[in-house]
Amino acid sequence: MTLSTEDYRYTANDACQPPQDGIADPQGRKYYPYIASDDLKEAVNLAITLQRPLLLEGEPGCGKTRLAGAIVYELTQKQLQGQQDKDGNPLWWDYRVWNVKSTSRAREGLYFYDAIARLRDAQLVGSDPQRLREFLGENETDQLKARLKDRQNYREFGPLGEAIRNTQTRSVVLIDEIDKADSDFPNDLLLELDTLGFEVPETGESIPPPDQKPILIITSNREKPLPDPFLRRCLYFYVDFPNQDQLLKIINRRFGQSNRKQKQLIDIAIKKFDEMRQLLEDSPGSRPPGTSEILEFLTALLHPSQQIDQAMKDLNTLANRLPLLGILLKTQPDQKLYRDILLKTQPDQQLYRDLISGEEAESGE
Amino acid sequence: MSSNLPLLDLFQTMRREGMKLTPEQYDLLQQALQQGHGLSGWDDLKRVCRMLWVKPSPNYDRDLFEQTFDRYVEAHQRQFQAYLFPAPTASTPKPLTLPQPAHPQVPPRRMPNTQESGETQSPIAIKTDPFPLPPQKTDWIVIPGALPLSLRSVQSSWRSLRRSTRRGLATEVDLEATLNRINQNGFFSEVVLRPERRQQGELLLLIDDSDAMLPFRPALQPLITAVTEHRITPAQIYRFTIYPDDYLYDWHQPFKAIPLNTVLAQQHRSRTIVLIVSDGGAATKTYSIERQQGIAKFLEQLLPCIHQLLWLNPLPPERWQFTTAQAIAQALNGRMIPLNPVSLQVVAKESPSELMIKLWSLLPPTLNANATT
Repeated sequence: MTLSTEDYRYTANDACQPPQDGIADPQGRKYYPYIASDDLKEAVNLAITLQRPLLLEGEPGCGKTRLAGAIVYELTQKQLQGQQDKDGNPLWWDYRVWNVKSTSRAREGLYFYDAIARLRDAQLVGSDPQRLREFLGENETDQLKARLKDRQNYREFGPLGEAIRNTQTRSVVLIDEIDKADSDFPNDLLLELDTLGFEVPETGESIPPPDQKPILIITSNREKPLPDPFLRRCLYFYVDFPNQDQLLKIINRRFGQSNRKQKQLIDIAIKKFDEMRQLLEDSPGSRPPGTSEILEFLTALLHPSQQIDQAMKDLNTLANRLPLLGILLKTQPDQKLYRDILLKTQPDQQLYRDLISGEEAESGE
Repeated sequence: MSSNLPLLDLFQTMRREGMKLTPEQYDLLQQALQQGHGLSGWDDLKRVCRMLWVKPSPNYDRDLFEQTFDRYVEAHQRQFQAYLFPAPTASTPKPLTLPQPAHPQVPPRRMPNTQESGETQSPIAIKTDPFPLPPQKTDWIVIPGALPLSLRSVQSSWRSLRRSTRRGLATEVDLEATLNRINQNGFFSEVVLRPERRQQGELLLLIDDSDAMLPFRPALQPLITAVTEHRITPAQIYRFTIYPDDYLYDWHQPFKAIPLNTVLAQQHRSRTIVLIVSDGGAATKTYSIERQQGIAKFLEQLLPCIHQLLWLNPLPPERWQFTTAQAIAQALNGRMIPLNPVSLQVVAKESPSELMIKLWSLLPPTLNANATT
C-alpha cells in the first residue's frame, strides 16, 4: 500500500491528539497533546510535500522536539488505526530518534560496523578448534562460524539508515539538537540528506534512495551557527513562543477540565508568567521561562497533594518561593534580577507587600 | 518573463537584493506551487517563500526578505492578480481574497494614477530602483539583546577554539586505522599510532583601552565577563593602549604595569590562544606608521610563545580600508575578524597550523631588508 501526499497531511486536529495524560508507545516514548500554530502546520506539510528536512529553531522549551512525536501520533491514528502486530500490541508509525551528542559523527546515524567483534571472532576461529569448542560450547561455536561467514552480521543500521531502508512508508526521523555536534557534522550529512541513499564500504552494500522518503525533523538550539550549504537543503521554521491564547489552549489541553478555583489559579499563574517574560525580555543574558517550564510549574501547583488555597498563596508570593520559582527561572542571577525588577517597578503593589511579609514570616520562623 | 516560470522575477529580485538563493530554491518554490501551497493570497505565498528561502544566516536574512517581498507585492500586485490567481474555476476552488500587504513599513510606491488593472499592462513594465539604503538615523537606540556577541556565543566559540586536537608524538594506538589496515591488507602487519588527543587551551585576552575603543565596551562586555567570571579558564586578561610596548596593564588595576616579558614567559607554545581586541585605527580612520611598527614589534615577540592568534576588530571590514587595520589584517592573513559569532566560529574552526602570519609586510622597507639578510 502506497500512501499519497494527502495521506501524510499534518492537521493537528482534535481527533488525532493523544489523551490528556499522555500515552506511551511500545518503546516507552510518551506522547502528549500538541497544539501547532497554522504556520507550523504549513511548514510541516510543505516539508512533507517537498521531501525536504524541516529545520526547527526557537527558544528552549517551546516544543521543537515534541513536534515529531505529534506527527508520528497523528500518522499512527490515521493510517494504523486499530491495527496490531502479531503479538497483539498496537502498531505504531515508524519513528526514529537520533539524539545528537558532542561526539556524534554523521556516519553513526546511517550505520555502525563492529570491526572489533569480527576481528575477535576471526581470532577465535583461528585458534585451536578443540579448545574453542571446550570454551564456547557446541552451539555457540556454530553460531560464531555462521556469523563470521557474512560481514553483514557485524553491521547495524543507525536511526537514519533504518528509516531509509524502510521502503514501505515514510518513517519519521527526529535529529535532535544537531548543533550539539562538531561543527563539521551538518556538512558531513549533506550528501545523505540530498540523496537519502548511502553505501556501506565495509560490507560492500549499497542502500538505494527509497521511493518513500523519510520525513526528517531537525532541531537546533543555535549553539553554533549552521553552515549555509546545510541550511539551503532544509526548510527553516522558527518556533515562536505561543501567544496568550495559544498558551491557554495548550494548558487546557494538558490539564483539561478544572474546577472554578483551579481555573482561577491557572489564570493568575499565566498572568504571572506573562509578566515575568516581559520583565526579563530586555535583560541580556537572562533566560525567560518557556512553555515546558510553565507546564511543569502548573503540574506542581495543581498536584493532588497540594491544597488549592496554599497553592494560591504560594503563587502570590512567588518571588519568594524558591523551589517554585526555581521551576521557572533556573539560575540564581535570573531569580535575583526578577526580584529586583519587581521591587523597582511595582513597589506599592500587592507583590511588594507579599514579598516583604514573606520575608518577615521567614525571619520570624 | 516566460509564462511557465512563475515568480521568476520575484526570485531574481531577491537575488539582486542580496539573498544568496540558488536555482534549486526556485525549483522548490515551483514544486510547492504545483502542489497547491501558497495559492490563497499574497500572505500565503509570502509564508511559503519565507519557509523556503529565509534561514538563520546573513545570506538569507529575514528582514531583507520581508522588505523585498513587500516591495515586490506593491509593484506587481495588479499584474499578478490576473496571472497567478485567476478567477476561480473548478480546479481551484479556493476563494479569492484580495491580498493586502501585511507590513506597511515600506512607504508605498508612487503608482501612476492612470494605471488600469488588468491585461493591458506588461508584467515587466515597471523598472524597480535598486533597494535604497535605510535612512541615516541620527538617534540610535541600542537594544541590549541586539549586540553581536552574547556570553553564550563567547563560550561556545571558546569551546571550538580549544577543541581538542592531536599534537605531538604519535604514541596512542589508533584502533580504527589499524582495523582498516587489516581489512585492506588481509593480515595484521603493524599497529597504527597517532598523537594523543589534547584539549588544553589557555586564553590570553588583550584589550585595547584607547579612547577610540570606548564606545565598543558594551559590545565587548560578554568577552570580558567570560574571563572575569571564570566562565573561561584558564585565562588572563590585560589592557594596552594603541599597541602593547614593553608593558601590559592589569585589567582590574589599570595603573599596574606588568613587563611584557613576564607575561610572555607564562605562555605556552602549544596551548596559548591569544585574542587581541582593538580597532587598529579603523575607528578613527587613521593610518599610523608608528602604530604599525609597534604592532609588528609586539607580534614578533609574541608569536614564538603562543599557539594561536586572533584579532577581533569591533568595526566591520569595509571600515578597515586605508587604515592601519587593513595593513595588520593583511599581515595576519585572515586572522583579523569583525565582532560577530559567525566569523568567530569560522576562524575558530581553522587549524592553527595554517596560521601564516606575514610579519614582514608590517615592517618598514629598511628593516625589511635587514630582516631578509
